[in-house]
Amino acid sequence: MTQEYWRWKEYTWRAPDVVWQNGKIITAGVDVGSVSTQAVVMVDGKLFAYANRRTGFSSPDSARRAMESALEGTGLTIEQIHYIVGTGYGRVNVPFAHKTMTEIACHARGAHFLYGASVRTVLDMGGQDCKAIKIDAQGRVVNFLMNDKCAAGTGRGLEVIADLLQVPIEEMGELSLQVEREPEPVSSMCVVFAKSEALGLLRKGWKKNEVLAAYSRAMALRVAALLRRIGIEKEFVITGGIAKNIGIVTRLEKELGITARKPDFDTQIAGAVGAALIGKKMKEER
Amino acid sequence: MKKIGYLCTYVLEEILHAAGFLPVRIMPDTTPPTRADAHLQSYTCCFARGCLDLALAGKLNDLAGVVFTHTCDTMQGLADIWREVFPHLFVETIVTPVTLNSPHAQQYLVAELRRFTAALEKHFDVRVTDEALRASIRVYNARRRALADFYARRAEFSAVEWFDVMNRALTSPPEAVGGQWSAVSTQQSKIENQKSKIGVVLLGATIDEPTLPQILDDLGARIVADDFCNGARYFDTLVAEDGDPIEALAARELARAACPCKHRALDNRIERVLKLVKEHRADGVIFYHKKFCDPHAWDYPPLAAALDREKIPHLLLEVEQVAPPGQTRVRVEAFLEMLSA
Repeated sequence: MTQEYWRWKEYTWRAPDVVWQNGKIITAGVDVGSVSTQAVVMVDGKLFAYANRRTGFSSPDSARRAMESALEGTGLTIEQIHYIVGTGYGRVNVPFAHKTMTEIACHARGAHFLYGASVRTVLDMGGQDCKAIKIDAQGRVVNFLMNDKCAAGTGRGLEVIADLLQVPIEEMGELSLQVEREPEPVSSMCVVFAKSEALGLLRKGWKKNEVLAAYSRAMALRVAALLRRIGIEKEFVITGGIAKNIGIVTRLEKELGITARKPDFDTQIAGAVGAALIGKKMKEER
Repeated sequence: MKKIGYLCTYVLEEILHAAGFLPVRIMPDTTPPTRADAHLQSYTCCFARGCLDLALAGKLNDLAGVVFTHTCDTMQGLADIWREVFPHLFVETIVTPVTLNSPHAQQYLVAELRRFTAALEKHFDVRVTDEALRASIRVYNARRRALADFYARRAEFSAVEWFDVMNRALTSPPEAVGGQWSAVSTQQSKIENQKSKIGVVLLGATIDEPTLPQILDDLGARIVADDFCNGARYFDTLVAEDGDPIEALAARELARAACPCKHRALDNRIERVLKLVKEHRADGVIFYHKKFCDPHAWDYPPLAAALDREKIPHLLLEVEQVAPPGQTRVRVEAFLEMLSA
C-alpha cells in the first residue's frame, strides 16, 4: 500500500495522577469535527483522559470510538460520566451527549482553561474552517468570525498538499521553513485550484520546501486577514490541529507582528476540553 | 388576470393592478442556477442570478412583462439583459430618484410614473384611469394594513411561518391574502415559540429561502423585527387615498423606509435600525447579506460601528442562493450562545 502522507497519528492520553474514583464530578466533551474527533474526560475540572481520532462518515460512530478510546482500560464507563457535552460539526449526532454547544463557545472556554485567563483572541484552525474568536476574562465569547470562502486555509487543505508533495503532514511545517528566500504565496482561494497551482510550481522545477512555503504563506495571509477584521487583542493563542504546524504559525506571527503563546499541550483538544468544562458547569447548576 | 412580474418594492403595484394586471414579485427558488451564468459575471448577486434563471428555465412564462426600478447597478444591467433575451416581453425600468428628500424628487418621480404609465397603456392598449388607481391604492393599502397587523402579532408565529406568510403575500392576489395568516396562527409553533427568549432583528435585501428562519426556530430564537425588502419595508407607509393618485403614489415612495440603494440622510438607516432594536428589545442583530450585494455591503461598516457603539451584538451572514445549513447553523448558534451567556 502506498503511504498516506496526510494521515496524522491518532492517539490516547491519560493523566498519571488523577484517580477518577475519588472525583465528585466527572464530565466529558466530545468534539466531532469534520476531519478529527476528540473525546476529553475531566475529573473535577482536571484533565483525566483524552483521545484523538479521525472522523469517519458516521458522526455517532466517530464520537463513540473516540470516547471508548479515551476510557479504555480506566474502568470508567460512558454511563458513569455525569455530564457529556457534544460539540463540533457532528455535535447533534453524539448519541450519549446531554447537551450540545458550538465549537466556537467550546474553543473559547478551552483556550481560557489551557492558556489562562489573559487570553483575549483565539484562532481555531480546524479541519474545514477557521475561526477568529474574541473572549473575555471568563472565557466567554465576545465576538467571532469564520472563514466562508473555501478550504484553502484549513487542515483538509494541508492534507491535500501533504499527499501531493508526499511529505508526512507532521513534517510539513519544518520543511516549509527551510527556504533561503520566502517565495510569493500561491494565489488561489480554492484548495483544488491551489493544488493545481502547486502542481504547476513543481513542474516549473520548484522544490517541495519552496512549494510548501508558498502554500503556507498563502494560508497565513488568509488567516491574518480574518484576524485583522475582528481585531487582535493580546494575548493571542491558536487552537486546533494547524497550531501544530510551525511553518504556518511562524508566518502568521510575522505577518501580524504578534507572538502566539506557545502551548504545552495538544492544541487539537481545546474544543473538547471546553465542552467538558461547560458540562461541569451544567452539572453544578443542576 | 394577466401577470406582470417585478423585482423590487420600489415598483408600484398599484399602477400595474389598475391597468388590469396582477403584480407578482419575482423571487428566486432553491434550484441551483444553470442558465443565468451564460449572461452574468461571477460577481453578480444570487438574487439577480436566481431571478434570471427562473425566466430562462421557462418558470416565468405566464408573465406578460417584467418591471424593474433603478436601485443598484445590477438591477439596471439585469433589465437590459432581460430586454435582450426576451424581446417579446414588456420590460420597463422605473428610474426612481436616489436622493429621496431632494426638493425636486416628488416632481421628478410624478413625471417618471406618468411616463411609465403611458408606456404600459401603449404597450397593452389599456387605460389606467384615476378611478382605477384609487381603487388599487385602497386594495394595496388594505394588504399593507393586514401585513402590519400580522407583524404586530408576530410573537405568536414561528420564523418559518413569518417567512411563508410574507412570501405568499407577495405572489398572491392582493384581495386574497387577508385570511391567510389566521389559519397558520393555530399551529403548534405558536405555543413553542412563546418559550423563546432571544429576540433578533434581521437586516438585508431579501430573504428568499427559509434556511435561516428554520435555524432560528430550531434554536428557539425569535425574529422580533426585520428590515427586508420582502419584509417590513414592503408595507411601511400607506398611500394617501385622496388627491391625485400618481402624486400620492410618488409621495409614499419618497416617504417610506429607504433601502441602502436610496439616500435620505447619512444616519437615516442607522437611526431606523437602532430604533427597531430598542423598540422591540432585541438582544442582537443578524445581517443577512447576499454575496456581491454591494449596496448592503457598503451600508454594513457604518451600521456595524453604530451597533458596536450601542453595545448591540451583531452577526454578519453572507449567503448565496441557499444558505449552507451546517455553516449557517454554527454561526447562528454560536451567536445565540453569546447572547445568552
